[in-house]
Amino acid sequence: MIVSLRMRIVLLLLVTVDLMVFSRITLLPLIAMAIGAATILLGIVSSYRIASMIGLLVVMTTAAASIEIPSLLELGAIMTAIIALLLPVLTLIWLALSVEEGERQQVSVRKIPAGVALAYALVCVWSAPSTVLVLSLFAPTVSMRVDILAEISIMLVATIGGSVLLLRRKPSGIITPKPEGGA
Amino acid sequence: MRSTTLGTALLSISIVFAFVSVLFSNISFAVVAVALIAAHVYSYRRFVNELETTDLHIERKVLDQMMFSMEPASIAVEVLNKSSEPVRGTFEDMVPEDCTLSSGNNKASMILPQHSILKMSYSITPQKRGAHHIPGMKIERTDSYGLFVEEQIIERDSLLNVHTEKRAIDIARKMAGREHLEFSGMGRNPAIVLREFEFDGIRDYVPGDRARDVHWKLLPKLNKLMTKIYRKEGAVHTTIFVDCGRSMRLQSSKVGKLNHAVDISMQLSNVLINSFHPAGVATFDEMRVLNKVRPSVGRHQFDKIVKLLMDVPGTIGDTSAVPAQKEEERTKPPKPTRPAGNSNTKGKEFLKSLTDLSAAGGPKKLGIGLEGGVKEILAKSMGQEQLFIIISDLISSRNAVLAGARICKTTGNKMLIIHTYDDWYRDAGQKAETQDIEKLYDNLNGSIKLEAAFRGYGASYIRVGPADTTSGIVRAIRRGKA
Repeated sequence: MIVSLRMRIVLLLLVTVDLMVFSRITLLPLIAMAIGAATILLGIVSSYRIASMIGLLVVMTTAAASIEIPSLLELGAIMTAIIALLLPVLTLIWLALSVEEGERQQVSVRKIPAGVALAYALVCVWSAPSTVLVLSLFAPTVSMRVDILAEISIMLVATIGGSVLLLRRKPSGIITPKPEGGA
Repeated sequence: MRSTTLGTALLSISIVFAFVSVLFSNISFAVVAVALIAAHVYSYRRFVNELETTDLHIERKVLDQMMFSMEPASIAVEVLNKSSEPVRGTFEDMVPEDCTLSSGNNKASMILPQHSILKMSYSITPQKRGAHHIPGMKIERTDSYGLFVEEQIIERDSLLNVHTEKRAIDIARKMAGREHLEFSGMGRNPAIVLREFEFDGIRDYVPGDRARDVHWKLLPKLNKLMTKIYRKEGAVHTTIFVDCGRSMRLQSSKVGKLNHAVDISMQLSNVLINSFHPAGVATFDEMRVLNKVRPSVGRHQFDKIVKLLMDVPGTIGDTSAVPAQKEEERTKPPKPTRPAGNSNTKGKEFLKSLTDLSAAGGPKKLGIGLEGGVKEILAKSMGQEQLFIIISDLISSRNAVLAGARICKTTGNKMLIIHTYDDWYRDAGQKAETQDIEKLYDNLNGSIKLEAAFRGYGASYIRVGPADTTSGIVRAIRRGKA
């Protein structure tokens, strides 16, 4: 899938609006997000990756600090986490990273890797409720006492485990040079 | 696959976000960390896919028709990206070992869009004679998000045949006017224009014989055509045989035996050709005659010889050089350098056959390399007297040269052996001990006995070292020192 520059700018605006809508409406986060989004825009327009990365960092930190997710065990909260934070941040990261120095060209999205990454992120977010669901079937009294720290821990364990599994695949059929001094 | 600075920074930020989420019990930071790692996963999987589907077509051209050692040669490379994705990274055309980059650039950092061509041109200077390989192109690939790098080699082998130094050819050209060398002998030729030559005999008519050489008076008596043969005294046909055996290829000091032999053969052949002396060159190893240019005084004969000598294999550095050749080591079979495997069976047989041929102290066996070449030339000479100049170290082809000398004696042809004496080509900087000096003495003794054997067969013999020039060798031959 090919995404043009205009499309990317529109996507950036939409994502920024989405983040602002779901964050606490105070002046400081709004200004920070606006500055971050403007920096990303500048990076995209001038094909300067460092600028867009700095903007991304600002927007991500502000969004994480201002969007409140009380728990991941409620459907509403999970949907908030996905729609208000996960998907916009993923889109922002992609927009910021796809800035390439040199010639300004169209950016392509590979469907299979994108699908794998999206599925992975959703599995990570759903890992805590899924674990609690399984626990509740076998030990109902334990599941009642799952606190926020346990939810974060479960999600981080799922994230690490999943990334280890997905990053294990090595490219096949390519020849790499032997290391210096090797046999 | 390695992570770039940006990739490491992003990963570190995601770890920091994860820590913050645990420290402040904030799920939002954990979700952002998940998003960052998911982006990492996407970038990685996409890069793996890009690497696997890379389809680059490399076209490499050597712009110089002949490459000389220590002389720059130009190379042009074209890379066509046939894959559906652009290739990002640093493209580097790999320079062969023993070659240095002299000018131009063999590297280019760029994004090569799909269905487009990258052109590079540069020149390299080979440091030694022989075959050099450009194995392919090394690309330090970067993924489209700048998070990962991977070195990839696209194999596209190019063989560069490098000749000896240009100086040696210049010397050969200069020598041609100054030096003079001629070997006279009897030749038989039916196509005699002038009749002052001595009548030798008659033989059956061969299609191509001139009508005036046909013995017409014999036609009614024998009822078949016969051709008159005349003898003439003149230059004998000379073939210079260059030994390319494994012992000749070992280089223990600055000057390799084979390199020296190539220079001598080239310069000697030019001296002979310019003296209107039909000369040719042949290369041989332990097993066979590798290549051959028939003796002639033609206009392009020297060019043919130069081209033939370009294909002579390169020398191999002998890191385990000893001051003197040990007799016991020479008689022992050589150990294969690699452990035996399924593919090594043929290699073992080959090594064994070479050992049998080169066993100096063992029973006399006839070599098939030089001997076969000598026999073939004699068979095709039609009675023309031949001179064979053999340039060899007489180690791996010793018995073959002896057999050749014996054939020359029995058939009435001449042989001159230029012995590139192995001990003189070894590094003089090594500390010699009493035992080594004794070995050197033994080797010299053996060489003198060998010389006597050659002289017994009627062959001429001259022992040369790295300091001996072709002019010196020619003068020595002329003064009858050989």
